Amino acid sequence: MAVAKRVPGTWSRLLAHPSFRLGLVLFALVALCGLLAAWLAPYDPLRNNFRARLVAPGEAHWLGTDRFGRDILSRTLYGAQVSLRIGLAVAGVTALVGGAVGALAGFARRLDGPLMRFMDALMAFPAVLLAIALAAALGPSEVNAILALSIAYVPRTARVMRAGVMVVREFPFVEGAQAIGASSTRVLLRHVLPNALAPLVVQQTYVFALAVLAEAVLSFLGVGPPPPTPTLGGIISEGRDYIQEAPWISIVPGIGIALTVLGLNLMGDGLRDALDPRLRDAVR
Amino acid sequence: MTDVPLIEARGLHKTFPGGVHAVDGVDLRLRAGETLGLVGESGCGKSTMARLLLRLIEPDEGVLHFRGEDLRALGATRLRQMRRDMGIIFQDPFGSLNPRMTVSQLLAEPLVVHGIGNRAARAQRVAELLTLVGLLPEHAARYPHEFSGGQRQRIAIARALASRPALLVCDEPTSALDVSIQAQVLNLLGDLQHRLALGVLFVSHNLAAVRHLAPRVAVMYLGRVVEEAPREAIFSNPQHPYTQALISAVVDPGAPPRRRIVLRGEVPSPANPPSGCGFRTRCLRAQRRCAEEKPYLTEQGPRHLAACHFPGQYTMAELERAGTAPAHS
Repeated sequence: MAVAKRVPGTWSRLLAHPSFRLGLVLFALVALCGLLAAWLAPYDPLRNNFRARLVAPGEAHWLGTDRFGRDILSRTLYGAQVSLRIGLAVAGVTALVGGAVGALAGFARRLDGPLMRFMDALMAFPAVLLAIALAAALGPSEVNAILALSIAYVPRTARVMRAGVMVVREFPFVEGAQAIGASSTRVLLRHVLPNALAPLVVQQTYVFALAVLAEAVLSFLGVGPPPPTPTLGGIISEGRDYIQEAPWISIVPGIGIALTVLGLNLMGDGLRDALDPRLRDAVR
Repeated sequence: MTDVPLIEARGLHKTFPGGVHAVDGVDLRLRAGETLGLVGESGCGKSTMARLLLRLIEPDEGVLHFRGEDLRALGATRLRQMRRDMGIIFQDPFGSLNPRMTVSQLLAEPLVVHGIGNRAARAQRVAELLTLVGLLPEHAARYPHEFSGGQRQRIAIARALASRPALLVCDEPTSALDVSIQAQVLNLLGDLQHRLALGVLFVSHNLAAVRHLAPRVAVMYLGRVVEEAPREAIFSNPQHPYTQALISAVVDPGAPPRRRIVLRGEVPSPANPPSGCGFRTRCLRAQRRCAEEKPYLTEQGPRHLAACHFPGQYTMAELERAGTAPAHS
């Protein structure tokens, strides 16, 4: 009841934000395609049809077929499903692990050094390269791709969380909570974290987008989920050899990736503006 | 029991990184049910003192007893338990309440933390507290941002009192509020202090507010208490030159016009305080001895202490000679 009071505040501000609205529409479009792939896809994405190899977009296959005669529309829909699942999982895992690491580092001064130096060490490698190396070492599979990408992106989330916690830690109400005798755990969980989550939420939309992009890179290089599983990056990779004769193979999933990443980034911008603490009081 | 003070500090020191001597050897005693006003200008260390007394900041040196128990010797868990008997109100009612908690969560939290009552009893206590501070029980479901500054400070007071503490520390509780609201909050504090027999440390730079609430007043300058006396003595017969300057600045519509003592210069940096008496650089009476020897609090009258080598009211001649300002700077 009482909680419901503030949520519309944030939501109405979000929905009034033009780039958030556009981002939401784009992302919802891709997400719905992925979710409803089983109903939307006109063909089985894995079924070969050698009588319809490299068919140009037309009546039978709206977006054409690949070298095995598989329907590109169907493969892209299922590919979006896999890519989004991986992106969401990476955003979730990094939020949990990075959030915990960042919160501890920001709150407990003694842990700050060791934890963040470890994060810095991970961050010293370009994220995509690190993910490729890890995925290659772990072997191609969906779970390993999630694991590799999560490790690669966890330092960014941890940093954002740490910064947020360090800011909130200095707020007077934190001292007030100590003054009533609240334990450190309680101060962190009830007072600091809830007020430090906004930047994390924003950051995770970007991590989601980065993970979709990086997953495409992994699949393109053959260290993502193994064929014939359709992933957006994988389909692009399969179309590489036919880019002259059948460009649609790569273009269609490419557009899918672009829309996903664009949508997520626009949503992130909107969230950032709506959750900006500097605006919160002005709105009231 | 009666002669054990509620809180007692002796020789409390706190130096912040950078060598800032925020609190430089302060003694304070507060009996149960008594109110002590602590005044001084910004940066004199009074807020630090308030936090040191509750061990929200760790003192570097000194003795700190709460009801005869050594606060500085307590472990973290025991200290947290002791906080049930101490409350604090902060200056900024906009920052001191967690914006993500409802009023009822805020007021019930001290009870939850100390395991007082069950859910129903706590809800009842929340309603009781809201009534106590002049708000309505219906306000319990709202968030702090739905209230005005004065109302938020009332919520902060209710939160500080939730666990029925014996000591309430008020750190500039009205200075962030509009003048019209200040009086309401001061009256509420005065009323509560009587009804609940609270020991109150009232920290403020607002002399009028301190005069209104505190029968005994301590004046701080540059991390030290320079004078401590009953309210009447402080206001009518201040002994320390700094107190005299401070009192002379109070606008008192009832009293006959009096000479304002304008202090020249700035407060010296607490990172590099002057030798001897901290006030000597701005004092009309400063002599050689003031630079060489630190003055300690000495008895000037009944329960009247001042830390000055040459205490006593400025004479007219002194003020004339100085043109109401220090002769040397």
